[in-house]
Amino acid sequence: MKFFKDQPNYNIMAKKNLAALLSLGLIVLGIGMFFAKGVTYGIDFKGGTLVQVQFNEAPELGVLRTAFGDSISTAVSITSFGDDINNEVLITLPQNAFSEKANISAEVKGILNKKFNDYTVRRVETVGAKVGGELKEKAFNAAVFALVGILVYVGLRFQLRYGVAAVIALFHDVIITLGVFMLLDKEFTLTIVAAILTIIGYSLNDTIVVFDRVRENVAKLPKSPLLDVINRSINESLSRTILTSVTTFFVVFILFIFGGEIIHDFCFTMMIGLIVGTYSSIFVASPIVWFMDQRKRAR
Amino acid sequence: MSLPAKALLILAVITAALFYDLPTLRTFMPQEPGAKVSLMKSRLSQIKDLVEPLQVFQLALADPKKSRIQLLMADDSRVPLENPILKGILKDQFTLQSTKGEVYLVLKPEFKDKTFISKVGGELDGLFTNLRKITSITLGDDSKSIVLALKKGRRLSDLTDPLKTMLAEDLESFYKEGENKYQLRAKGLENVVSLGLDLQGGMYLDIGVEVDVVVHNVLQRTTEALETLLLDGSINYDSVELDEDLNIVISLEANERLDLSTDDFQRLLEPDFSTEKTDAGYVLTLKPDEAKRIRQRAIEQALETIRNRIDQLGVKEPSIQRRGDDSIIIQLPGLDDPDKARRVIGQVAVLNFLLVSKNGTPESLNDDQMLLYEEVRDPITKEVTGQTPYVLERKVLLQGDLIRDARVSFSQTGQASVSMSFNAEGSQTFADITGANVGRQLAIVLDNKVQSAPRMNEKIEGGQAQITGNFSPEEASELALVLRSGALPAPIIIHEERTVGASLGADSIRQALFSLVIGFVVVMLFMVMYYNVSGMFSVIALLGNIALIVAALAYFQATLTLPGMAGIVLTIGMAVDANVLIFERIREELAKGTRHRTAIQLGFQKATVTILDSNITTILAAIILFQFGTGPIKGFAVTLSIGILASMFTSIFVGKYLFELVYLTRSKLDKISI
Repeated sequence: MKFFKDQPNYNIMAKKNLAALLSLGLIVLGIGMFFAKGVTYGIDFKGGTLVQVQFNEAPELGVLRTAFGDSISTAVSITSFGDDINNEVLITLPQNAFSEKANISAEVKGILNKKFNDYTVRRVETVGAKVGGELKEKAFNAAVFALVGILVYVGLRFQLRYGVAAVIALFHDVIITLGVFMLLDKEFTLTIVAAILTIIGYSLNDTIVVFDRVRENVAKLPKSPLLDVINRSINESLSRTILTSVTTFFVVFILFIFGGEIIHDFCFTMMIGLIVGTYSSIFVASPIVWFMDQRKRAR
Repeated sequence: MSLPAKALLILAVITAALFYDLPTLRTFMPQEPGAKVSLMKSRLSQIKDLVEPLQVFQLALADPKKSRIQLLMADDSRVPLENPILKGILKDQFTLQSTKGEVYLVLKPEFKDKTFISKVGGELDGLFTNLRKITSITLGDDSKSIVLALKKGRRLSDLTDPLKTMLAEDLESFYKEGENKYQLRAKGLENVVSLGLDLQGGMYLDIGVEVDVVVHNVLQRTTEALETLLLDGSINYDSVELDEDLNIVISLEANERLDLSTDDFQRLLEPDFSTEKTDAGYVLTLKPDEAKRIRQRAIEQALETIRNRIDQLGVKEPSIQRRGDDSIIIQLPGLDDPDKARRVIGQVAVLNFLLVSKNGTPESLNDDQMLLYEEVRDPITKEVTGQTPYVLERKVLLQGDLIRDARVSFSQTGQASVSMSFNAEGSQTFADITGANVGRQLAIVLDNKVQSAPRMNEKIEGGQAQITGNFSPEEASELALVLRSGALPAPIIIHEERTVGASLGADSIRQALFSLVIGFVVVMLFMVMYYNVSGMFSVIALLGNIALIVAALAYFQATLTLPGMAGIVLTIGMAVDANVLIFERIREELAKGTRHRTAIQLGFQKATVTILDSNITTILAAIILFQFGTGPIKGFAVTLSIGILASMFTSIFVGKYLFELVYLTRSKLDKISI
């Protein structure tokens, strides 16, 4: 079986302006989302408590909300969690819901006991302000170090402009993925940071495969214009790019469907990132290399 | 490298991997129902056979002069000389003699060491006393543990030697406070991928100690001591106060002089304080080094106390570590009652004994008095229904640090209370207090709540005191536990908590394994459809890859978390990338008309560079994730990097070998299924 009967020969680089327009549009939308909606931080970063409760019978969310509303003055988010048959509810409390030294789980149980008696607390996560701040800093550092590391590695293995192009493509991926994320009001947690870093690794992997071809073809065809070489390289690695993306997308999709609610958002982010990352390694990274090459020649 | 050599190498790697995989696989396999139960049943009967015959003994009296040990027995039973535990102690150096109903173990004449007799006598006596505390040996409720029930309030004094022998290597024991029993459970297997708290259930706590409170307390005490010294020295002062910046400010009356260099003041202030003379008096500041030392000590003390408390919770493999200057990380896997753990860890448990004032009302307190409350609770529901105020004298007469032991006890009506015994110093103080204040009420105050305030009818000697307070048995047992393990130096703050119930963890494992299998099958079908025979090579490589990941995790004793499992699933998708790169290259070469043999060689050669370059960047990202991530996310980074490393070996090396074996050995190669 083959995706392409013969070696494909699409004029991908001819679409570079269209791609640039699309990418810029999406990036603007992503940044726009950031200003319009902002990131909804999960408790990992903003602090607070999350309690996952399983009821024996489907609970009325309204009753739950009243129960908490009567006892706590701060806003409490109560949502059903996972498949309906599980009767699970996720209760998210802000940091100042109870006094500082309260046994939060006991307090939550106290409130639940007023209205319900058949339930189990399956998960409790509490993050205080101190740790929240630390985690934010760590996540930020991780992203910065990853990008710098990549810039240096790719710069050394190829040329600086390849490194710069790769990093720009990664920014592109991250901004667009986060944009979709914010659009859908998903919560930004540590696991999402992990997903984004994985996307960075994956998308880069894809980009490098193309760059590798470009490097090889530049040596092989020194007289051809770079644009043609890049186009040829993308075409040569096209079926590989599609194949790998498809298998990876498959497994992430399977995890998304069957892997359980806890890693749901992680998988979701990965799926978005995989699509954007595959697109960027074809339509973003290489055109940037060409663009930078043009500028250099013009000087 | 020749083909047989390659085959040997691959075989060696896979065998080594399987060696590490199998124990882990066994833990993941759904156990045949009852396997654990039948194991426990057989161990139960072994333990019974060992222990019960020995329970007939009451005492062992060593008589070194006569070279013998007298055994006092409950009845005329036979002496079970063949019992392995007994044999182990006697070391074949004694013969049994019974005369006139008295039973003796006599040292064989060839052994002359008399000190040996007292040693053996002591060992036997310890063993017998211990075993006679055991009232029954039964299977636990879940049939997955063995329960040694003890007489009320008893504890096995030494679990190390004789009992250890009978527990053998596969069981470990936990004491269940309040239930008077020991629970024996199967030990965890070694060299097995350990499951993260998110998969097996448990509690992760990052707690801080309010060290500043400790520093403040020290300063407060110093301030009070200074005031006493000034009073004793008849020095007229306006005030001695702790200001907001934690300086002690002494303001003297006009024309009054104070010399801080006298012995009394030096003892109190040197070398921890720096002093500065001002117009009105002095400003004393705690030196930063000393403040730091106080904080350090507070954390260490908290660590020690928490460790003591957790030891008594009976958690399987707790981990308690200090992190940084002010944090303690606690990990309690497989915890069945997180609420209890939270209560036991978090209770400050400062116990004070104070006198109830003879006069004074809550409305008019003088400087030496303070107001504290006792909670009034419903005797049946134990719910707090109100509070009773007490006017107490400020001076603390006795503190909980002088407690030697604390236990749950029950009154005749079945009401639970906590009995404490003081150490020598505490006993003396307690006797003095009760003797000097007969007829008055002594309040027992725990963390600023009055527990009870009994009237002292006579001097109490012997160092025993009791806290009665309408407790439920669990509360009493928790209170006894925290009192035994000592007070925390200051309240704790929970910085971070992640608690996962065991059932949720089990669900996560099930879901992740299911995804893993489905993911594998889908990728396998896809690869075989797309590349035919070569696709099968990649499936073999993929299987080897998973075997290697699991083996590496087991070898490094890494912890598998839910994101870690996601990492493995993701690796399946990404690992075929290396194969795809190679196969595409081979196809390309074939399309160019290259000879089959050369096409395979070139395909591998050219793809290897690409694979290295692209994978190194992914590993780079994973290493950074590991550096910055916490718990579960680290697990993800680990499996991802191991998976990528393993995939390079399996797809490049193993893949090449398969091609060589199947295709390159043919004398005439005119078709490759790719």
